[in-house]
Amino acid sequence: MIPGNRAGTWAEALLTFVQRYPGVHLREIRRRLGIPIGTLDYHLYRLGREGLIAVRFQGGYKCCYPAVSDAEKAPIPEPKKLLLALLRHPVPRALLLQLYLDGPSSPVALGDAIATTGPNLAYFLRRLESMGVLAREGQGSHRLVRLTDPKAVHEVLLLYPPLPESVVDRFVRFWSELHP
Amino acid sequence: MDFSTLTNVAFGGIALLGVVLLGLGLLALRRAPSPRLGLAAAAFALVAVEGTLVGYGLIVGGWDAVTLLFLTAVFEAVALVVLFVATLVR
Repeated sequence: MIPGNRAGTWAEALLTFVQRYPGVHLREIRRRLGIPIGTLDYHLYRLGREGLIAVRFQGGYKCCYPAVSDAEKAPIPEPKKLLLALLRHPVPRALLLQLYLDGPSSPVALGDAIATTGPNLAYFLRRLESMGVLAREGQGSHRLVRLTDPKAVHEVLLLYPPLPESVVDRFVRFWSELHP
Repeated sequence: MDFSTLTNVAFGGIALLGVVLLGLGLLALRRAPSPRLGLAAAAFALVAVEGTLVGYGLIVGGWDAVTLLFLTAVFEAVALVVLFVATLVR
């Protein structure tokens, strides 16, 4: 049985976290807040029933959104929910940021820029294309990847902060960014 | 001038720092497995072993200065080589 005050604290922490980082998925919340998965599920259900949090499945992840976003002062529109959930994952986030900052790019240049393997890149490009977030044009060596709506990515990046980096994230980034 | 206490603390610190960095390295390796992170974690493991072994030899074992210096030099050299190789692979 969960003690009342602790349950209240967890629910509050969960609500605050989801309000601050909409689109975050269940396992990430568990990792960041240290709430056991069963307890987290229970609180998500309760907060959902009260109309405070909306949950939807995307790409095999249970993504959580506040019913009304502080940033929008309204429920988050569906296209933004899709982008937010993608921006909470490292590889799609790196891909979208790279395409947003540098414009259309070849798959090879993209793979080099975000330092990922060919199969991993191909998997995420296929997924993002099927969601309508990016488009691939041209053939063979002239193939280019571009964002379908850079303005929407810009708005989401402006309105919603990225998840804070943990010490392990910074360690991985430091070593990954070293070039021979 | 007697440096024995300072030396004990220094090797204790090396062992502790090595263990912390090794823990971080292993967590990072689990999150994003790559040869580079594996080598970085291995280098920090060497630092942790160096601190522990030399610290043991110094405080408990009573090993002579030449042995301790030799061990330190070997561990440092191997750790530096491993870290250098880590910068060459991805």
